Amino acid sequence: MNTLHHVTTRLHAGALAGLSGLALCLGAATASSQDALPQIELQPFPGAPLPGLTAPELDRFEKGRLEFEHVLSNAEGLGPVFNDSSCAQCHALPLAGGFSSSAVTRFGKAASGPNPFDPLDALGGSLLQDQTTDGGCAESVPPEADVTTFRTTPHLFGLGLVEAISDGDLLLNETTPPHASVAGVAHMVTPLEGGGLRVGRFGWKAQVPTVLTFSADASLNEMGLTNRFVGTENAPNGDLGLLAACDAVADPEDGPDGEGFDRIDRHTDFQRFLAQPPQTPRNGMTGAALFTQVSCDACHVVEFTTGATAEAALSGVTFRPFSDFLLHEVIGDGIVQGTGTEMRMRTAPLWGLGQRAGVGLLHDGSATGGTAEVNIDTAILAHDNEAAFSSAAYQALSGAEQDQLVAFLMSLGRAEFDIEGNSTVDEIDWFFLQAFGHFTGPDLGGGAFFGPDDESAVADVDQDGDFDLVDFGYMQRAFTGALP
Amino acid sequence: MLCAAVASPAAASDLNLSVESGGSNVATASPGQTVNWSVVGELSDGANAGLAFFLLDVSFDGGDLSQADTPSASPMTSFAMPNGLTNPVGFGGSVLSGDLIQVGGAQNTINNTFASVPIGSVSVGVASPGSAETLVTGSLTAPTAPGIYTLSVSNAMANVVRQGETGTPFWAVDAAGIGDVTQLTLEVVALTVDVETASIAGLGVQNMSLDAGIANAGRSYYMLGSISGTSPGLTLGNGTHIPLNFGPYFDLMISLPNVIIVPQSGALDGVGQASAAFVVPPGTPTSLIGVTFQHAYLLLSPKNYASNVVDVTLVP
Repeated sequence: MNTLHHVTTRLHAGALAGLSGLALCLGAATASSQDALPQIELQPFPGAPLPGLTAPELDRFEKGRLEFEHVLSNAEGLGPVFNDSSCAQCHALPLAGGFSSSAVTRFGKAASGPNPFDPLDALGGSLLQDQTTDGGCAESVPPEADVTTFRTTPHLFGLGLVEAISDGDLLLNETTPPHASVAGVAHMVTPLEGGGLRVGRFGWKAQVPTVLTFSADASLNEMGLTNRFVGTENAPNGDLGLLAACDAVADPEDGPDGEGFDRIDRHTDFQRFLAQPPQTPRNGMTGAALFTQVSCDACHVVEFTTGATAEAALSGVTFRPFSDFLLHEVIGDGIVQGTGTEMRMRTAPLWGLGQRAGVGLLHDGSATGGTAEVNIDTAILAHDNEAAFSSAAYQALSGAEQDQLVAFLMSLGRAEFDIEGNSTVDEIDWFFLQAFGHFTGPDLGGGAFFGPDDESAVADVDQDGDFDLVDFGYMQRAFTGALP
Repeated sequence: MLCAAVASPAAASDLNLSVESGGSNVATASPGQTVNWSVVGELSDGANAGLAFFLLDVSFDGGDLSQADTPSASPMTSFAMPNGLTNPVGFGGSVLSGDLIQVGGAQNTINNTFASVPIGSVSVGVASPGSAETLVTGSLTAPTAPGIYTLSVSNAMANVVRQGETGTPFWAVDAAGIGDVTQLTLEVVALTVDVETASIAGLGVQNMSLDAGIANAGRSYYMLGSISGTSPGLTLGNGTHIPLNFGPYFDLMISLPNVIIVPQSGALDGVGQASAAFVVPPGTPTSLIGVTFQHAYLLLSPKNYASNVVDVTLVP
């Protein structure tokens, strides 16, 4: 019998019908969700625009920056009394929009008996303009003043986000204080541009509710530029005769440019679209837990989320200003502005603190003279009254814990990879990172090379405990080179 | 917004990746064979000045990988130390549980001169559209067991040199997305044939090459067959799976050995190879024209290795 014939006779018919070739259809596998490493959005550098701005908004930001840096001439309306001739001359570090060591002087006559505090408006108070376009119009602190204080220049990063916090969110910390020892007060003010009362949030007394009001107010009071909201010049020490003699430019001195924007509108665009300061490492420092443990966050509220605004980049953004923007009696300056009484000052936002700590802290810059860390320690110890309990809790920490808390505060304002702390990522940063062994390569499961408290963490963008090629890829993107 | 981890943000350019062997995403190898592989990259558009940085993980489901090669020719030498920057273990990645972690490197776009690495100059136009670049090369050992395996790239990341950059004072870069990723499919075959048909009239012959790899040198083999299909096949008590269904042909081959396939059994040589042949017997009925027969072999003592299946279809 033929062998294969024999086979066929034993086959079930259905089996033959089901036979098919074995040709393998080898298709190459294609992309999946695991192909790409999840990406991390780098934090903007100080002075950079908010992430997510549209092209027209970026255009307004850039034009605003140019105007912010523009040095006003006398003919353009500078003076006759002023503190400086451009926004950026005071708000300069590390870039336009930043802080500086310069301070302005406030003066007045202290309350006495039935007489309340007198800001000496008639004598040019309470803000001193210490420069003039004409030597004959120079302003000085009048002898009637018995209160004089300095106010330092804060950075302006993230102002648009602060403006976008709803009044309700700010008032919540007034009505339901996060700690029994604190009693924040909202400074309700009307914006110069109109509208109802809003919670003030800018200025050392929280006397300014919006960025536009801030721009208009500062244009006049810091540069002498009258504008559509404040159209009357400051007379030198209140002397209208001197004003008439020294002010040759018709008011309002500000006016629209070719695109219909006043200078104060340009200033406002720039400040509203400035990104918030970075914080590196982003999470996990021991000092952050201690910050909460000693109740710093009772006033220095860590986080807010903005409400809805016209700009998507400002809407629904969660950010960390470390302030409740309320007035507290902690360290007064003797000056009264609205409900900002002698003892009340706005909780200073701590974002960016590490950048300016070396220059000096507190409203008058009096926590100065030491290293940045020492200045921070000095400022904490100076907290009194409502904040005395928190300062005491800080002092009760061990020395090592205090150092950890201060190290956390130094992380506020630090840019990723900026191990030198000069708000750039340049060759020198890489030199320090590479030469001193921070570049570890990947953690292969043997345990993290370092934690958020270690110096190396400045380069660990993905916070996985190593500084490896992934992190360097981000460093390559973040590289700024040295500042010009 | 702090801590915004997002998946693959929109980027102007994507890096497309293709895992290949011999220029193809599909390759065949015999058990134990050394297989050279490469990862080829090409940017999706010209809105940049070429690849500045890349990294990727490589894994193989057929066994452990060894470190990928260090580039020896331009432009990829610009991505390897000392010209470029890699992890301390080198361009070829870290071996972790048989996978390669973070293969690749960065060009010296920061124009570093102070630190010891990177110290090279930047090559522009790397992997630009139409000029796909072999980014990584390496080799692997094909598994002994026949089957289909995948060499996969994952966790890729890339930067591109920004268009218009001159390198002064440094080369600014932008994030690139990861576009299409095509993996390598590797089929390991232990049994191959010279033809896929055999003539009834001509008493055709299909020559078979057995290659179970050197790991199986000297072992005994036994050819089996089926015309009842390959699935579900037979699974022995020790777990060895024979991809042939039991049926009359299977039974016939066992009851009448060395008639249809010659030799139906024997010993593999010193490198694990042997030869056999399917021979159409005289008198095979033409009713079998178009019928496909499947064959595979089993290694004995112990019966722990079955080859892949090959086909032969009877033709007039």
